[in-house]
Amino acid sequence: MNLGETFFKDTRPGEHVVAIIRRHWFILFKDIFGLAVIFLIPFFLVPLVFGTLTQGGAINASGGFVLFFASLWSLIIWNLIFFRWTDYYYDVWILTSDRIIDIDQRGLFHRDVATLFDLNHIEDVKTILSGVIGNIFNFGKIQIQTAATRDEFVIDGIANPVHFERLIRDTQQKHMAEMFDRGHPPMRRGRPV
Amino acid sequence: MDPTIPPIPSPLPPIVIEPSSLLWLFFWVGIVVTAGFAFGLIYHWLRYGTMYPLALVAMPVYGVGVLVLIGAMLTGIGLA
Repeated sequence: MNLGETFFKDTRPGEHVVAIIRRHWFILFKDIFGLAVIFLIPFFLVPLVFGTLTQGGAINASGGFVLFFASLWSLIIWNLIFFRWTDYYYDVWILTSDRIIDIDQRGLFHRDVATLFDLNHIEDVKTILSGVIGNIFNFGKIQIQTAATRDEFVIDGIANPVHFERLIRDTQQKHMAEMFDRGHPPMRRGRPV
Repeated sequence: MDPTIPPIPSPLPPIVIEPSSLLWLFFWVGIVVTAGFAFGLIYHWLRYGTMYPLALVAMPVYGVGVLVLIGAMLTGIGLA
């Protein structure tokens, strides 16, 4: 049993996991960086405000108070960091030999697991790398045109989208060839492809 | 002194709020918030741990951080 099968057990007969794709690490970094900025704000603001007030003798803050509130603030940010990381880490797309599955973790206690589409429904795959950071770090989005009811799917923020596009095309070709071999040519809108 | 005139009551003693009691209030708020997060996170990490092995690495790191920060809060209350 390979890692993919350990990861995703609800496979169809004969189906195997080809790749597990996550968002690029920069997406997580952006979230964590935002939290780091929020974390640091009071360490600049509080001495400034307290310095002004204590000059007039209004507040006498001891070291214990400062330690307490710094720790409380750090604890809240610590929780949020792990919350964001879990949200990032649990969000995956699984490319199998038959289909693409989307596992969407939205916060805690909300998890969607859905088959986005079968590979034989794909009509076109488009890769978009946009922005300076996206180009430097090689992440972007993939637009997949399908013959399904919802005709376009966008997978956003993934690392190395060009490689993923190639992987989807190769897997799709293999899947179609297998269907022909089994005597079930893939049908699209009622006609053989 | 006229006995029909009631005595003037002495002013009430001022209400003194101990600073440390305020800190305890914030402490328990912090603990309740952390308990909520910890339950949600650990539940997910244990439930899907086989699918996401890094979650099992994150769990002790998170736990140690929470304990250290709670300890620091208690030390702060002790020093205040």
